Amino acid sequence: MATLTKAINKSLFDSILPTYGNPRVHIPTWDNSQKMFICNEYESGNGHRYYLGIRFCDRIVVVEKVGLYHSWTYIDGIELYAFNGQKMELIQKRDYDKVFRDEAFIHRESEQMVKDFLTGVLKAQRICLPTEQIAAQATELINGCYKSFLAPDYNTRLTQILPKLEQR
Amino acid sequence: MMNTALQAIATKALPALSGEEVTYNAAKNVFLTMGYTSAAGNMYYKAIRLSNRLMVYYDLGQGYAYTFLNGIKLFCFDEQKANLIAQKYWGGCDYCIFNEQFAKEQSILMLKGFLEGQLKLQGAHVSDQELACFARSMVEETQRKQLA
Repeated sequence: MATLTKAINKSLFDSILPTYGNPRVHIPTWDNSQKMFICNEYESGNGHRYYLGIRFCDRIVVVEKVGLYHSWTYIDGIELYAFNGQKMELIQKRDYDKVFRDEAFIHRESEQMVKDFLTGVLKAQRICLPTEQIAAQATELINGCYKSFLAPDYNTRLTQILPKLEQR
Repeated sequence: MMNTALQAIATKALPALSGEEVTYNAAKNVFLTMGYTSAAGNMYYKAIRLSNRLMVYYDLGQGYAYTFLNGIKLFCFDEQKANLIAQKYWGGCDYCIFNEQFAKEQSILMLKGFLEGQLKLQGAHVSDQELACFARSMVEETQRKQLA
């Protein structure tokens, strides 16, 4: 039994971390330090690497466009998506030029984008809410996106959206 | 065969180098990029170790008195392409002076986190002890001297 378990585990590890030249199992990568999934990796002809970093809660999705250039990591853009049924709709987008990626910056920008979105929607509907309440809601939503996938109470059903994001 | 494969990876397939060449430092068993020197005289470069399964990148900054660890990135392979699987950064108030043992332990933790995520997505379960042991063996494999 122990031998069988060992063989199964070895096969699992070989599919997740294969030797050079062998295919890897197609499973999204969870980056626990950055609290995001990494997908759509691309390396340009100049050797610069680009990828999407995706984090989400049950209401919004935050997509970072990241570029690795020499020793520096740049944030090229942030996109916010909201759910409409099982579809996602782009609700906010910011592009950056030569901005170093910094966790605190991403967090602040994401919160501000949610605030801007909520403020705009409420204004269009002629609803008045205190700015503090909007800010608190934005903070709660973004903090929810930073929950670790490895946490026992993480809603793994949300990962079903990853293939749809990879298609964009 | 192992050395030939690693030589091939080292010369052709190291990812995210932005066109930089690498040189091999046999004493430290590490590949080094040429790096960049800032106006303040600080040098920023990468130190890379690899095996046939894993590549460990250290982003280093050489200051006046200390070498700082600014980041660690881990890459794995998908056929002949490389996939970024984990990264961690230090800097600003959260600065980190480079230390081989610390960097190794961080790499192991990062790799273990990656493996946990992959297994969770597959609905598979492996004991924490076995995960830690496998992650350690993978990182230590990159530190074994496999190139002449």
